Amino acid sequence: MAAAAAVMAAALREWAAVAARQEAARREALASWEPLLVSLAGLAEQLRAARRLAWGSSPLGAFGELRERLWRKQRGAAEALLEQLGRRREELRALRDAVGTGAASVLRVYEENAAELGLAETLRRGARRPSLADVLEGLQDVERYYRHLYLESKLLLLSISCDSLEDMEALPQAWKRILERYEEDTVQDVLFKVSLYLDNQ
Amino acid sequence: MGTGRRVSLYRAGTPPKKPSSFPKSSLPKFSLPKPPRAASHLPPPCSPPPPEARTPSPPSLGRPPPPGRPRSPRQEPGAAMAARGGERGRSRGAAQAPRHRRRRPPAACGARRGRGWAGPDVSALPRGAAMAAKSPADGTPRRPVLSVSARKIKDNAADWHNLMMKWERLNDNGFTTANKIVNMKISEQFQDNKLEIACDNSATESEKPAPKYNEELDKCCAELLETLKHMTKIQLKMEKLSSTTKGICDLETFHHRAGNCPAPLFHTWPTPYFYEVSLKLSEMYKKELQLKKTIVEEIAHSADQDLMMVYLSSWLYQPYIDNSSKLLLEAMLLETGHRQC
Amino acid sequence: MEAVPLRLLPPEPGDEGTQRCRLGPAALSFLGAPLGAPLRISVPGGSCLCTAWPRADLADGYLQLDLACRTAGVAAAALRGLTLSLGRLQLLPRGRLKKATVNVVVKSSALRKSMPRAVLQEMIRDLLRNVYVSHHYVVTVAPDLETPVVHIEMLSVDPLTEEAGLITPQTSVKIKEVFTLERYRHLSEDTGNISVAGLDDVRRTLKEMIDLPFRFPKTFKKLGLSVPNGVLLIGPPGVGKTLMVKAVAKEVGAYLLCISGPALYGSRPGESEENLQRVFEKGREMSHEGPTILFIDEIDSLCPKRGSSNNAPEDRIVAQMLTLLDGVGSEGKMVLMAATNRPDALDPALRRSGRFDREVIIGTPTLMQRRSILQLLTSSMPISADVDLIKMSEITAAYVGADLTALCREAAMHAMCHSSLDSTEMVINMANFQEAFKKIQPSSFRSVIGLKECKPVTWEQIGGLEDVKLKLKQCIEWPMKFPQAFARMGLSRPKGVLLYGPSGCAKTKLVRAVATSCHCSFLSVSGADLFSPYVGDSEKILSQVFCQARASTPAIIFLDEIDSILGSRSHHKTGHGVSERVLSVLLNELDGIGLKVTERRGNKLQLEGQCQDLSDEERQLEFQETLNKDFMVVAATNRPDMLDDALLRPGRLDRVIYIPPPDLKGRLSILKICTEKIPLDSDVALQDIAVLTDLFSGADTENLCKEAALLALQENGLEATTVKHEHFVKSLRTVKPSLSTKDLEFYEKFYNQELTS
Repeated sequence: MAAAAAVMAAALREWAAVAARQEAARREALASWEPLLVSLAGLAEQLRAARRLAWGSSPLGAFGELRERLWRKQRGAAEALLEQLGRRREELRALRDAVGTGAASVLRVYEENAAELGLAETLRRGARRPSLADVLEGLQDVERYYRHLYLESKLLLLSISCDSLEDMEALPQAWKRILERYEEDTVQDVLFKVSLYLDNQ
Repeated sequence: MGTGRRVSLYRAGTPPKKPSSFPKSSLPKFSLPKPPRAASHLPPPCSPPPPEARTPSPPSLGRPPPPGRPRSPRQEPGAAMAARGGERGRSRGAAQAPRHRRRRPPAACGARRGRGWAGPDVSALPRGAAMAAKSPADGTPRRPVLSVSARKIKDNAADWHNLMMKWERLNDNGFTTANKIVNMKISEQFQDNKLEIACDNSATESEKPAPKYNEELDKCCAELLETLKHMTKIQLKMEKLSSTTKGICDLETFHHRAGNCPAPLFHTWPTPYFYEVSLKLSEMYKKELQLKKTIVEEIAHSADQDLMMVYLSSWLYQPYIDNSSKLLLEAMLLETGHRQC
Repeated sequence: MEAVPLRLLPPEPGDEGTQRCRLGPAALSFLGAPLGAPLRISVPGGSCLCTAWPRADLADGYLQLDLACRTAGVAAAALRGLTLSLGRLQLLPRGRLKKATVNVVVKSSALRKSMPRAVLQEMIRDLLRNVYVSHHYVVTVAPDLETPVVHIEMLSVDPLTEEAGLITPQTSVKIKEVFTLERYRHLSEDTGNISVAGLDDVRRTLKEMIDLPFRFPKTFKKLGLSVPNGVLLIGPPGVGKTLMVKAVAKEVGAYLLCISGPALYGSRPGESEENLQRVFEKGREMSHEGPTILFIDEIDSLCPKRGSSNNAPEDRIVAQMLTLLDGVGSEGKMVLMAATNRPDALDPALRRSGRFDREVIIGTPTLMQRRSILQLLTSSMPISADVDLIKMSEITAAYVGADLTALCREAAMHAMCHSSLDSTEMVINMANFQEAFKKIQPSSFRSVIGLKECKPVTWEQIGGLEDVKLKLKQCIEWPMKFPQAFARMGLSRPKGVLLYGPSGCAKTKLVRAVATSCHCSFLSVSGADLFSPYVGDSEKILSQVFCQARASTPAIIFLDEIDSILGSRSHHKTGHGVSERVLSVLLNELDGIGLKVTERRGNKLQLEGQCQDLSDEERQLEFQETLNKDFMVVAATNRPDMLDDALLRPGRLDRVIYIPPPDLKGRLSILKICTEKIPLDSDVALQDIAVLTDLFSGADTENLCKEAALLALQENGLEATTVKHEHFVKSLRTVKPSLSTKDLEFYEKFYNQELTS
């Protein structure tokens, strides 16, 4: 049983080390979204202004095909931004995959040793030590957190289209809403839990 | 070693900046990096709402601002600034001219060195052509005549690059200024609204903040005008470049009156093609300059937020400068050997 | 320990969408489940698939379920407050899935359209990742995720085992179909099975129309067929048109979109058209996902004939409808169905091919159909053995499905009321049905002109006229009761019977007795019913009566005093009297070229193909049904000479029966019947009275008896107990016979003429 517990601890330790790095990467990745979305929103507002403007009567009326040219330029800029966002999304995806495989491998180690560990040991809690069950649950939570975060960001990107400028303008707010939902420090908590578990073997 | 030499080809200003800006900046500078910058500068569009939201709008907000009153003092600065800015720009241009001249020699010598570096191609190919050509001059070997053409064109290409970079810089500066102006105007509009309400209560002293705004706006307008002056100058230079290229072309046609086809000066481009590209580019900038002129004239006088937004957007995205301009420039640089395949 | 039941608590908010179920340590160790092991938990309505996790407080005796993966029948609301035994939990071996095919349910059709398949597929993979699934389970996406996907239905999994399969990033997920939530709900919610009996061929036709194009679109395309996409169901109210459409929609799994006229109409000009457009638009949207039926009930109210009513708004609706119908044709994915019971009131433009290509006529159910309907209805009722469905279906002529349903309900109610105490063993017997039969009238009869509720009269209540009775039985009762004998002998039943004879000689009563003896619809038309101040109205009413009779065969139409209704063309020379036009209608109805198409009943298929595999009894029934497909006209008159000759020609009123005044024997039996309730003194000799009452008709005789009884009361005061012979003799003095020898001669002459001609 001790051997099994040691194997578990080793797996968790490894996971925790990787997860801490991933957590930092996640924060970085998420931070890079906002300015891009704000720019997109600004662009949307420009597009909308151009759409609303009575070109003929404005001083710009004399410029031939200005409107089309400007629109093309703005679209190009929007597309470039989207491309960048897409790259950011890929970062999140890579993170998700990494976290997923990490959690899966820990769970597999548990599955292999479950019989040996026994239920009582799995559920045993100390004064400062969470039970293995708690830790594993947390692991799953983290995995799910990354999965959903990626999914939501992807959906957000999918929803962007130059046809609905209002939605585009509201992007930063939408992003903020998503972040709010993912703000609670699930990952931090779990990391803390894991470290408590490991420290108080 | 090669790269080091290539760097020195660029005669303008700061050599160390080139290598970094050259390969990377060209395309992204136009479109991609804009967003972050737009993010920092564009807030005019986004930021006006916040002040509105922040300032507690009095509940009795219903009276429309009396038309005309706040407008007249504010319209003056624009006009005044235009005049003053004009002066300043002229003096500055005069000051710049000598500097320009001073910088030229090193560039020329760089070009010469560049030719040496590009050696086999540039010198060998034209030579064959030169043999066939009749030299109108004193019978000196034809090679210098031809190489002079090639060198000139190569110089021109470098000039194009530098001018365009400069234009971009100016454009960015101008945008910052224009952005400031628009922000000011919008907050002023907002202030006006607030003032109206203030006026309701104490109708006596409402013009107080106006002078302050004028001053700041004035400064910005002058700045913008200045930028425009620089841009005008750049555009003139571009036209000059294009006419130089035309001259070279004419010269070549003159050489080849006999009818045999001239060999390309560098790799593949026939000489007139350089002129074509130059003309295209300079046309783009010419149109763009016109647009910018209009924007500078109008931006401080508009009250329509949409219009201001479009002004800003047009300034930023330079609709008349096609995306192909970068491509043309790069192609030219490649052809003339500034860039390696 | 095993006996400890688990109380079901609502899931923890944090567990939503995690597929976890929380158990106490005791339950975990009982199941031997390691953490995260998949469990199948059987709950009312189905089962769900969860992963085992300990409760945070490690308390025993509780169970919390997250219903992320469950079978379709499980509803969260039904689980509140339940207790489950541990045996309902089953530890499943786990495996990894290689492949899975799914149906996806998305929130709205706009999302469905805008999302490319590849993107959706990737999203589904993301959503299903690390979820344990099994065959036919439905995965519900956690509501806090803002995805367009709501449910994912596992259609098939590979490898297909009973175990729980984990979907890993390596599992390939295929989307078969994408539904909108609305459609999914529609398809999954009303699980109540709608069954229709007796209309199998209609059902097949409809099903084919919807199903084939959807199943074999390529074949249809190859054949260059444009799919028929409009069906008009025609039939009287209550035959099950709407029910049929619903049943077919359910069977095929089509989305049924109902339009009802009143819901469409709006007060604002143009609003109705707008509503109509919206409904069609919705239908079109739904049809992108799968079979869709747009059902317009009572289309006659929505699209009346244009031009007839001078009603511009209605005309506009019709025009709009036509345009929309044409638009549907080009889409080819939506099937339109409409139902009406007044096809003649529809705008004819609707009824051309390309709009409503097919018209399916559902008539009043025939005998066989009624039997199968009754079978279906009673299949779920506790019925005693004495209920004879065949007999029931025989007596329920003209009952439509709705009436039969009402009949059964009434019978059940009756049974319930009369055996309210021991409700556990309630059985519905024939008597209950008889009672209900009295109360429930066929709905088609409610609006019929001339339907008479007649006092039942038995043959025995009519004195004398034995040979007439026999004749009547022969030509009316026998063909209805023993059609096979008639068929065997190659006899066709008479179309109509004319009874003539002096008034008061029980013509009407005879007919009543006929109606009583054979269970059939009995319609009586008199001049009062027919004549109306409007031109053409009388003819219309008459033809309507015939139409009704045909709808409710077997039926007898009784035209009393037919001479007054019709008259004769030869007698009146005017040429266009009302009575002449009525006559021509009658002639046509009796011997017309054929039925109106819309009055068709039953199904041809049944008659043609399937006779072989029926039992003898059934075949006999069918036989009877086939032969009984007609009605009979019985007319009575005392002026046979006034009738048009054409009416008496064979094929119309081909049996002419003379009802003579009662002879001596007849009078005697009449007297016997009349004095049945009168206490007669012993000296009364009915034989003598019968001799004395020559030329007395039946009615006169009855009157005589009454008179005698009154006289007895008058003479002996109110205490009189008997009627004496003298009373009869005295009353004979006052009561005079209504017949005269001259009249009788006239009838005799006519009778003889009939015989000779």
